[in-house]
Amino acid sequence: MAEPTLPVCLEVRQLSYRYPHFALQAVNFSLRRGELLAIIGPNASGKSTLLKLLAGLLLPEAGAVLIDGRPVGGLDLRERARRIAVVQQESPLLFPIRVLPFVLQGRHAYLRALGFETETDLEVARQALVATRTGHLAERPVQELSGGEKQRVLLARALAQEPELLLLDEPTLHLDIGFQVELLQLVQQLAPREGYAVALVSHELNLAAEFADSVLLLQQGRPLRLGPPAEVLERELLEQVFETELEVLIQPETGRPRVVLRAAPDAPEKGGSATS
Amino acid sequence: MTTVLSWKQVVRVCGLLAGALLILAFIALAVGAASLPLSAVGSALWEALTGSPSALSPEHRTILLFVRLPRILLAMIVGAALGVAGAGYQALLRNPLADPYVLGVSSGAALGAILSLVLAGRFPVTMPIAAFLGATLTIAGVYFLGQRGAELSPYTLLLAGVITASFLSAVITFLLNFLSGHDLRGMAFWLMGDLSSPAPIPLGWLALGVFVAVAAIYAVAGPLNLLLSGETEAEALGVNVRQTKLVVYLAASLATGLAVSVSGAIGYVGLLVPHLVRMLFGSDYRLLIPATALSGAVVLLAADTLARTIVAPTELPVGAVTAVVGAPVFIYLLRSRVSGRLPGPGGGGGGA
Repeated sequence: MAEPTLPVCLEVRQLSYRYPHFALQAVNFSLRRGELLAIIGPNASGKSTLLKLLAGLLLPEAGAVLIDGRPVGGLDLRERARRIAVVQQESPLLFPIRVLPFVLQGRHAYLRALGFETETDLEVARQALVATRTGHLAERPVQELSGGEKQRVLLARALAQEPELLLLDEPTLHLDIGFQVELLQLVQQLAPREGYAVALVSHELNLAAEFADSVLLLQQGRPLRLGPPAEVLERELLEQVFETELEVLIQPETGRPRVVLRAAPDAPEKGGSATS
Repeated sequence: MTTVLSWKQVVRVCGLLAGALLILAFIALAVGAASLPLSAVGSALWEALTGSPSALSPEHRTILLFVRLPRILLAMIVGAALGVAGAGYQALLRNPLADPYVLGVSSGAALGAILSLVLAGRFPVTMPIAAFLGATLTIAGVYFLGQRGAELSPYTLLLAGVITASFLSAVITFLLNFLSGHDLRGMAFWLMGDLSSPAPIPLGWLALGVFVAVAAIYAVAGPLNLLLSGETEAEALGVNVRQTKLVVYLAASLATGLAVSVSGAIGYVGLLVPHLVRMLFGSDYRLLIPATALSGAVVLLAADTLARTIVAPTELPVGAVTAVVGAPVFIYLLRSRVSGRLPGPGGGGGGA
């Protein structure tokens, strides 16, 4: 849980963006350092668009994304990369590269033009490897890693940017349940310790419930509810948004909700992909 | 750790390659249709490097300093230009099989050069400029043809390049009829890629132009490394993607245009050399670019030395030598692990 005294890192005001057939409308929230926000919603609800806007990879049509009070769009590219790190769906790599040089790519925005990585850069990269428990992979080619290892190495590259804001786009996609939990535990531990604010997009409602400080639920580009997991993950709301029969249980130890399918005995289960 | 690149390693590798280039230049000076004593070659090299006169006989001086040496320098400059152009296009188009010749860019540059000969034959200065324009227009066209939807499809791109090259060669053959005053066998050689005719522009200017192109690509070597992991990733890591791509696009086209305007369409150097360097020294562009420039010089000088000695006293066009080696390697790369990493049609990359 974040200390309430930590400063606000990210502030989003009346943020809107429009595609020809889709619009993201009037999103508002703020995020303190050390806090973890989960952005959830059905397919095509605008989650990834919102994340791109937070990253500065898209510019808002209206409203503002402020990082430490300054509009993200106004930062120059290198400064933006020193403040915001994004872990995206991976692209295929063109040529072989080993893990350590790959993680050092996160230091690009700190290098001078034509520069080579300094001892400091190496140290930061090694710490990022240690933090993501991938130190033993440093000399391995990235192409040969398993899905879980690759995801942790992508996280390490983002950590090497020493960001204030860490953005994760479905970081647990393609990971088995063990790796999903491990990755989010890692992020949850690192965020307050290193002072990042974290925003992640996920389809895994229970991971959001378990690890997020706050949850933002989107539907068709509109923010439906924002708050602690127990306030957002309510049965009626989720059933309406995901159009499937669900049950929400509150865990007595943590007070956090848990979403399960309520299989109707007489009807075949519909969808179900929205929950883990 | 050994996998992290330092400037010391760049200096070490480049020193090694420069040494190899010097030794090869010595050998290339020594061999040829006329056999010369090694001492004369040594004196000539000394004279060329230091500028102080030596005890060379006039005919040896003519052969060494005014026939072989300019050709050797030309081979080095052209080899460096083609190698770096290939490495640049591979990163720009995210395609490991990109090469100025395979993509049709060399043919575009050749067409530009021929057009300038037809229209403004009395002004040889226009030739490299026309070749550069031909190169930039061709790569833009091939890029456009290689797109399927919003994505650049690697295989469609290569096909578009090959077809464009064949189309442009046909246009060139047609245009050659208007150049009956010129030596047609020489022109045919030039089309295959040939270093035997003297450069239409001074070597110094050629070297300067190629140096500018190589330096421009080297200046964005760091961003290029990141571009290899995807454009959105590179942008999120702080790379000005548009600016980087523009620099590489113009510089690689300049290098190709200059090379083609003095030597015709020599194939596969831009494909072979960067892959060879990657195998030996890794794929970091901060090392790859200078090492490819030097290795390109080594490879083309070796190929040209072969071209003018294996069937002496006649000569082969050097493009025939590079194609004999390059085409099989292209097929090998196409079928090997390199193309295994190419995203398939419609695959790869993110949506909106």
